[in-house]
Amino acid sequence: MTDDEIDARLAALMAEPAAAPDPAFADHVVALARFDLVRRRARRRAFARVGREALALVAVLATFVLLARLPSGPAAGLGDALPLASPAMLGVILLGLWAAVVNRPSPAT
Amino acid sequence: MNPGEEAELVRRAAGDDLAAFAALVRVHEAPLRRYLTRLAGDEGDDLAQETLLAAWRALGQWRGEGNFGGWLRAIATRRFLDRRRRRRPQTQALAGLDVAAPCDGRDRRIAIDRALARLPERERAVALLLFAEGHSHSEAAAILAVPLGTLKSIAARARLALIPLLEGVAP
Repeated sequence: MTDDEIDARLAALMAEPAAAPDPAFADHVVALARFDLVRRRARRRAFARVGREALALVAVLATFVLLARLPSGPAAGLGDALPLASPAMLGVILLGLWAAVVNRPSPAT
Repeated sequence: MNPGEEAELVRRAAGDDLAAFAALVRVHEAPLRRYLTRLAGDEGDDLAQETLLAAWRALGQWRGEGNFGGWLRAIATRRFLDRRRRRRPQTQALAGLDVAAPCDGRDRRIAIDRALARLPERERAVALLLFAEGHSHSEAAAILAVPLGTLKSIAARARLALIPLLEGVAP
């Protein structure tokens, strides 16, 4: 008997009728996949949020560094406009940038 | 389901379309569970679930070469072999059993299962892919990620071990 003949006989011996589908098993797997999808999306959102907050932290640190390096000018009176290059104005601008970065709406939400 | 429809479902499922994934699961779960039950015994359903979830996470990696069922079997077989590698083989416990096939259908099924259980894991996987599932040698080699020559060597050993099953069975 050749190998092909043996293979054919083994195939005939081991052949089985088609297995019956199990809808409960399929539903369970799909439910697990749904849970996995929700978890992946939540993780993506969390990473994006960590990234934004790291950026905000860098902005705040940069503010401190810049403020520390600027020479302090004469104190402005109550009615005077703040010069744009003053430490206080720079602080306000950077604070605005920080708020914009932190509160930027996420596309996933 | 034709290959084009299946490829489209896979593409949609890879884009997180759960309905498309559910359709794929309904088509493939029964044959996959049958293959894994014969390969891994009681762990079959557990492995099938693990395989389908792994496939869900890796759908984007399926390049559409070969059929999707073959890709699932590749994942399933790898996971089965990984599990077995982590523990001692259980084949020795069945070494003393008679594997010659009795004529009665149910007994024959038991004899086949015993004979398969006695085979080392890779030979069992090859025997199932070639004889029970009807894959060609090259398809089985692709599923198991081994060279064709290696696959043929494993198949020859499996064939030799299963020949006693043919005793008493009319050709």
